[in-house]
Amino acid sequence: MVTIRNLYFAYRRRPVFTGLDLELRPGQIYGLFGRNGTGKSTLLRNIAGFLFPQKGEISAMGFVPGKRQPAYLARYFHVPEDFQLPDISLGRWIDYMSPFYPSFSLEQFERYAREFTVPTVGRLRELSYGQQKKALISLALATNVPLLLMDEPTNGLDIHSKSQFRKVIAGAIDDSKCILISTHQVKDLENLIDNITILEEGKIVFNQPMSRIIDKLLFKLSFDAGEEATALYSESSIKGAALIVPNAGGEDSRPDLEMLYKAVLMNGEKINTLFA
Amino acid sequence: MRTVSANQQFSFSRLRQLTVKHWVEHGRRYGLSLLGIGGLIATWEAFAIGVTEYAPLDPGMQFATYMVGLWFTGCLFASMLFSDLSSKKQALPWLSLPASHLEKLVCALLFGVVGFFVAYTLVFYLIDIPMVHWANSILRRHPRHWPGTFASIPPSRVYNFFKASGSPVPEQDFRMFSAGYFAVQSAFLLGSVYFTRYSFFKTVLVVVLSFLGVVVFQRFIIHSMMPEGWQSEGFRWREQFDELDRPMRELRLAPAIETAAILLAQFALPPFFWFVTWIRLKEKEV
Repeated sequence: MVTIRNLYFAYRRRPVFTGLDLELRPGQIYGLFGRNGTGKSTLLRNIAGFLFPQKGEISAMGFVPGKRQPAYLARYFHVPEDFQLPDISLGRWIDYMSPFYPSFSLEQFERYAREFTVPTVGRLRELSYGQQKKALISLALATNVPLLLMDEPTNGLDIHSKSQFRKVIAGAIDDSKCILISTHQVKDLENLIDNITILEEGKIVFNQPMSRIIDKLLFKLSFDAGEEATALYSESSIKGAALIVPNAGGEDSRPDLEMLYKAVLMNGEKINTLFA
Repeated sequence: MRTVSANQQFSFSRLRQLTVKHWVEHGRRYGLSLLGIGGLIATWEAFAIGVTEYAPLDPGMQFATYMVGLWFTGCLFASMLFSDLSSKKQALPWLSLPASHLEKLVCALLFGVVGFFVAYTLVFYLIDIPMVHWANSILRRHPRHWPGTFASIPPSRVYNFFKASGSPVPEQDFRMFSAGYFAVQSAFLLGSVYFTRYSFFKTVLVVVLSFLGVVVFQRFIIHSMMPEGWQSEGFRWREQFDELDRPMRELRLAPAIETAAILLAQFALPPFFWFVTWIRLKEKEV
């Protein structure tokens, strides 16, 4: 669905990407993780066509994003981290936005808005930031575009809304859609994403599907100091040391995304050799 | 790469959707702005009637009021048409809206150039006509003479801006002046895309500097290259005038070329600026 090859991008003299490669496939929810300033939003904006690569190429559903052709714009929806909705009612907003997206479903929008408990009366600007964000996410999902780009979508959402977000997104994905979610709040996407992509200093340092992560890595608690010493990553807690170790025995465990993220940043080379 | 149909550049259906969107989002603000403009014109003309002793709303005053208001508010409005692009949180939804850059530009032109001109002119006349009648009714109740004469001050006519006859400036100059408005307004439209912040002030600076540049070029460069006693006037070059104010010798372009050059100078600048704006929109990164 999206192919990025040898992407180079810089803000004036500050290089962000130096030869980045990435492939996004339909039917997947990608979690794009990384520290602040590593280029997560920049990557989304390159895919959306808001920024143009200095070198390399991006192909999204057969389009060159930078050309911003209406046919491409109607096939993706970008939910930015920071946004401003117009000062009108929700109904009027949907009335004029929906014709731009041929697959928009009003029934779906109403369902998502209901699930997110978005107030349908009053003007959009009168809603809280979190409510506005939920209205925007509801619209984004109801457009039924094949590619959904979400930049820190859980920022500003309360705990209940975050779990609703995971539920709604999980229900919205199908084989024709691809969702790329950029966030530094790794925990918010637990049990939701199919693929983890970690950006560090403008490069993709880890990019694996969850199924392979479960196959190759074991997440466990241990009181064994020897095991802790040889672990790929360890964190002390009152329940013992939380470890990530090679999954030599093919055991099942529940991946802790936050730990995995930190492990990759600290010990990425070793972890990646397990996936080679 | 995917082959896309020709209507990726322009579709009336998308333009209609864009126009609806623009109107729904900005209609209220535009209505209030027009009310404000109407209020300012009314206040100014009422002030003129109150303080001017003789013929307060003669065609010259109406002309000046209309033109100053049109130039100032028209350029200010144009400089705000793409102001969404200066803020990231508004620019991203604007750029990702499924419509082409050309459609977005045409939508802006419909509101900023055509719509604004029509609305401003309507508002002006809605205020000006009753104001002229009011000024004339005062004159009827208190007839006056021009100072130092027995000639009565006649009632004012509502000035017709679409006919140059009776214009306080020569017909040709008036047409250039009107065409100049659209050219300068288009420069402000371009400025609103080109400059991320303070686009109005930056465009004012650029326009003034460009005008000064033309004057300096004409006065010091062209003039210094001309033979002694010659002067230039638009697309004509004349030797000094005789005692009857006739040029001794005149150099001019072939009539067809001269007409084409004048038409170009009058009407080519706005489309040129619109074209550059379209290019800049395509290149815009956020």
